[in-house]
Amino acid sequence: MSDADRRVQFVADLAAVLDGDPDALARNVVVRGDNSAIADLEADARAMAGWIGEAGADFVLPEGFSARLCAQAGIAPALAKRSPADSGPQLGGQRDEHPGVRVTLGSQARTGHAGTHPRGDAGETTALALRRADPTPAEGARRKRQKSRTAGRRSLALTATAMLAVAGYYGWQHGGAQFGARPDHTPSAEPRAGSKPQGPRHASGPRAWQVTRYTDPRTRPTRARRSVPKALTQQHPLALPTGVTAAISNGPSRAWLDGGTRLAYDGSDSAALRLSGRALFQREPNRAPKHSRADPLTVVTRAGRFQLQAGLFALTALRGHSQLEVLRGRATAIGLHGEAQTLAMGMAARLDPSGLQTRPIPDPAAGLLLWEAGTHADMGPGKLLGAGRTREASAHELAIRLGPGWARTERVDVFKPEGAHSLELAYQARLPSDAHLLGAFVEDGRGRRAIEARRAGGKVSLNRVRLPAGEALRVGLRYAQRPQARPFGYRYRAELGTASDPNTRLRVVVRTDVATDEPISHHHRFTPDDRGRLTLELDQIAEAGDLVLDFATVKPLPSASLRRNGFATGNDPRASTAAPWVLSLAPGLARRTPRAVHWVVAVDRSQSMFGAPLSTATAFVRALSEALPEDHTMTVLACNASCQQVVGFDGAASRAEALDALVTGVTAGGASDPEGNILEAAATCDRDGTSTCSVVYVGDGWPSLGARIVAPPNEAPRVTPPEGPFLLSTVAIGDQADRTHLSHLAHRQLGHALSLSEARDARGAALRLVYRVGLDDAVHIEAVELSSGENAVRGLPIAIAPGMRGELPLGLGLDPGAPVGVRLRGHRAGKAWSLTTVAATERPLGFAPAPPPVAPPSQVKAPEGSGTAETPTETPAGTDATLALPMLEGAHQPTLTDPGGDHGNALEALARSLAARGELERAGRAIRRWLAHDPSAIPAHRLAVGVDQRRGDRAAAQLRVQSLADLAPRDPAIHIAIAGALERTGLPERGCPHRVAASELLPTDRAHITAAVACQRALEDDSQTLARLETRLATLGGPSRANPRPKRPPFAITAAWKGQTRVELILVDTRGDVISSLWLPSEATLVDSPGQQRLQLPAMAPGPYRIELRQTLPDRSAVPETIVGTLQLRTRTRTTTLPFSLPSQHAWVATLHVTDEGEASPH
Amino acid sequence: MAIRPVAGQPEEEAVQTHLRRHDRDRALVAASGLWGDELGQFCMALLDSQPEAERVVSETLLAFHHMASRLCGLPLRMWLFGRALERCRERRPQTGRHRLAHAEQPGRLSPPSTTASLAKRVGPAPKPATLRTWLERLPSDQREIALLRYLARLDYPAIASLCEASPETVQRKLGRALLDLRQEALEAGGNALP
Repeated sequence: MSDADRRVQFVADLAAVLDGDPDALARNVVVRGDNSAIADLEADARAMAGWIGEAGADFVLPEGFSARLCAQAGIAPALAKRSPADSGPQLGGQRDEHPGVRVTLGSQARTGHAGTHPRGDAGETTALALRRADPTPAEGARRKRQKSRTAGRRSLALTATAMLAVAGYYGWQHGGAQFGARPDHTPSAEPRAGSKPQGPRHASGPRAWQVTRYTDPRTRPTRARRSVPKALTQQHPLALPTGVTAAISNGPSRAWLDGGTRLAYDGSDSAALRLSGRALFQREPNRAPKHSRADPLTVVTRAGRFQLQAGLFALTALRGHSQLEVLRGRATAIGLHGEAQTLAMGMAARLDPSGLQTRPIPDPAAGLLLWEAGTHADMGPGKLLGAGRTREASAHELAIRLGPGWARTERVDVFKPEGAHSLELAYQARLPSDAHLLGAFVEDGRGRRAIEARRAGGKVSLNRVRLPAGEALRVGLRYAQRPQARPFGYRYRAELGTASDPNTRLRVVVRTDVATDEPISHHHRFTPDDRGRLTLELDQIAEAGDLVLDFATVKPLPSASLRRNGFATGNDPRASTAAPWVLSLAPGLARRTPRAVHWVVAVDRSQSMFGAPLSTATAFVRALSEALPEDHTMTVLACNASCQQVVGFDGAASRAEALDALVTGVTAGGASDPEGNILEAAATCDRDGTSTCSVVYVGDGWPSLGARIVAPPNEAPRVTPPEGPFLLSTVAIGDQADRTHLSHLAHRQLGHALSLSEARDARGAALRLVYRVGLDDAVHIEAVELSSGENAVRGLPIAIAPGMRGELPLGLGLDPGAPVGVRLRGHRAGKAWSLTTVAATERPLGFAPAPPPVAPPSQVKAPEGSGTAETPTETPAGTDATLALPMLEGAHQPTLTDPGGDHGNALEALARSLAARGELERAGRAIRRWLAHDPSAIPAHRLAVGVDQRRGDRAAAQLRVQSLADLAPRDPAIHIAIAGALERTGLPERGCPHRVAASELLPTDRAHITAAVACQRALEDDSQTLARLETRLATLGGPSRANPRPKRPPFAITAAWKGQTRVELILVDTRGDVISSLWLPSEATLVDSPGQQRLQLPAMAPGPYRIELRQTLPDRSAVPETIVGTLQLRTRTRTTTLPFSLPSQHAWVATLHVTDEGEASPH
Repeated sequence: MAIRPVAGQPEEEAVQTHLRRHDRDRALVAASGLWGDELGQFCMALLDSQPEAERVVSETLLAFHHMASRLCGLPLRMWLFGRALERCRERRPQTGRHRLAHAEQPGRLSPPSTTASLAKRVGPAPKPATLRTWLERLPSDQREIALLRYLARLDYPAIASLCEASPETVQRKLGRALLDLRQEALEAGGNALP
């Protein structure tokens, strides 16, 4: 090793040397011992390593940092009173800097200063308080006096550790509700009947929240009392638990709350006051809360106040903050410092001393979410505490039948009118242009009710509405104010007809229901039969028009949730024989835009995925990304034993480039661990609360790490991932995929397992789709639509029992390599369900990175005295290639017209032609299609080796070379070529087994046996094999020299250049095959030295050859240099030298014409 | 990036005890005391701003508090510094300065002939601001690796997982970072050194 090499080695090992790594020290013992410069370098680096640790030494945690942190996190100040030993080191880095002063956590008054408040726990914010560990005698006496005074006032049941007490005041006479509280006053006792509002008192507990005033409803004016339904107050007497410190009342009902932890006031229809998850009382649902602009509900909290104009909201007052969800109406949050923000429907706010934070409600359809805890910056996923599933209401279903078929119906708009408690949806269907309404909507059991219809914004009578041709009619269905006594459930009917045929009728039936949670289920219990259905039946339709129906739900269904998107189906006669299936609509009331999904796709890149499976997987990812909406984000992980993020992108614009990076940057290799990969992918998921996590695992499912899951789904243990909830889909790639393992994995995560495989028949490709669901679900798939290009095929309905597997054999003529969109719709576990994904057949799809820049051939000069060299011209590459194409295509013309239409030959001709022309992108696609047709075609793989190498994907080319041994294990030429490629790459230890294999396949070939012996000796490995080879060599007899000197080959092409950059010489023949370092004929030799590469060939077939040069860059980010050099061609008779310039990474520098055996001329 | 559970360091034991008891409040208090200063210094070295560093430390610890239930058994120090690193990256976009490998620049191995060796002038450490100026001139990956190693005191596998590189690459980049810093110090001359 030279001095320079030792220095390079030392730099690489510098960090390890500084760490005292014995291996690194041993490796660098020479250079460290005899080089003073290196010794200085090491000493300097050691000093620098120590200095780096001081780069942030001037940072000082500010005073009160920890207290603010705890306040933001909602940590109780009592925690601060724990001993520091129990909580680790003391806070804020103040480690006994002041003798006698101990740092504890406390809270301070709103106007106090950190570290100075004597009690530190009486007020608003939590701060760091410095307090002497041993109080002075005077201070001790003062504390004692204060303690005795406080104890006297704590006469009513109030626990000393109570953090919060909320006083409520709901003023009927003022037409609203108001909570009033002041932190600096004492809590009152439980108010007695007839008591008057009490004045402020002093605090009895250090952290108590106090009642400022209280008014018993029984003391209100008579007019107010009369408005209280008597029955309700009698049915729900107050229950006063022990330790009441605060009261809240809402209308006729009251609840008394323990001054402790949590107060939840739910203003929804199933309003309930809950304390720590337990309802203290349950009263009649308040279906008409009157918190309008004129009569707002004001809630005063420690951090500010909310002014509600909402009809449906949820309010939670916690220890350190208050939270509010507005599910209907508006609310204004006003902080301590006066900042106000108005929340619209579907928003939530958190108000605490650090400020006001708002965000959209994550999923109001899931129920009333009350955040249990969290920080102001991230409220967390929430916890269901409140009124349960009250928002999951009103399943609307829509089906329109026109004549013998079903109409194509689509939802065109969903909107919420400003200031109205309603949700309106517009549907559109094709109807006759002269259709008109003959009837009216009838509310079931209530008689006729006028409805509102609009046409072009104006109102029209519905008794008879004529639709001019080409004009749409919008019919609005809007629920009116619902009477108090009426139970849930509506049915509307209407009829439409056409003027062309008075007998034609359009019957409209709308029925809505409300699914409620248990507290109000005694009012109405709904069954699946109660689900409403709108059916528009119109017979004998001759021509088409437009009809738009508007739906609106108002107070009776304040939280109507129309789930799922409207169905769209063509007027297919086959559908008329099937049961009329309908789909509910989504999403819920509060969320009018679909929830964004963060997709984390884990692509298996283990060794078993090499070749076509990995291509299929990446094609699947590409097709999936193209099918996603723009607001969805996606992260792609390439996984073997572990995962590495390949690309993450969040917009459609960058997807194509990013996926090109995926395709070019991922090669197969390593072990596989599907389960670990899935968990890693789940951990990668973005869990900011605004998007849903969906993990897709794409691979063959065979685990080389960990065990396969072979137990049936109902016996396998359920796994709750610590990474949080996510939706898992597993996609099996390849016919040999371990679908059992993948489906069990998906089942354990309660996810979907989608398996796609291809079967061939006489007509072409067919797709078999296997869908597996979790144990608790039953899926009834009512519609399966597969689309490939312009073709769409619908499958038959199937039903999948819980834990079972459904298979959909679908015969369809798919374009080879085209993505297939799969859409399944139906019902799952009683709910409308759909799955949309993109599948791919086993055939690899067309994808490839951007083609390398094709540089024009260099300006060449004919050597003097050479009669065959053409006059040098500067020719654009494209022109030259185009001119060369007819010759190349003509050379393979017979294969294009083979009888029988063998697509393989046609694809081969196409691929070879494109490769010879240098159109590497298209050539790659053609080769993949060729390989899909015949995966074991060695010529295709060999051609792909050349294309990959010319495109710069040397790793893929090398892997493909090695994989050829699996395809043709008995072909000695393959083994020899592989061995040569590996040896030239610098991996002789991996090439030697192929030498041995070739020698065993050619037991009488002395040259190859000697080569195998040589490599075995060089590796000093496997003495048994070496002995066997030597024995065989001795048996053959002949010269004992293992490496006879080769003869000088008649052809030699030498590329010489300046600089240390590595350049590869690639020779491309008319069939697109390459002669290069990765694929060399057994007789050829390649001499690679710095600044020069020489290719020696014993013979060359007549015809043109492209001479291409490619720079090998150290990494992807490196910029290629302009390399200037000479190209020398030596034949038996003469030597020709041409200059070349390589301005880019890859360029076609010259063309070589071999005129006859042994003669060649460059130009 | 996936973080796999490993045996916790001794300093983490108090925090892990709270996490095992599902007491995230006390875990936050303990973590704040254990790593608040170091996190601040780390962020300060990356961001060169005391308010920004404070903010990142606060966000990191609040995230720790929020995710405490999922962190039991994980290497907390690595998690915290990794989180802080991500926040710092968000606040300070990485600068893509590329340098050729030192293997191609053997001349950089030798100190400039006009400058005395740094080893002979080692005294008190330069001011933190000066160090940050030198660090600023490094490529972002080298700067992060150097700080994760010598300020956050993480081991190579942890740094490798945070920086999405192999441990060997981390070692190489660390060596280059040290050499570049040395070069910066030498070029700064006596003005930069105390």
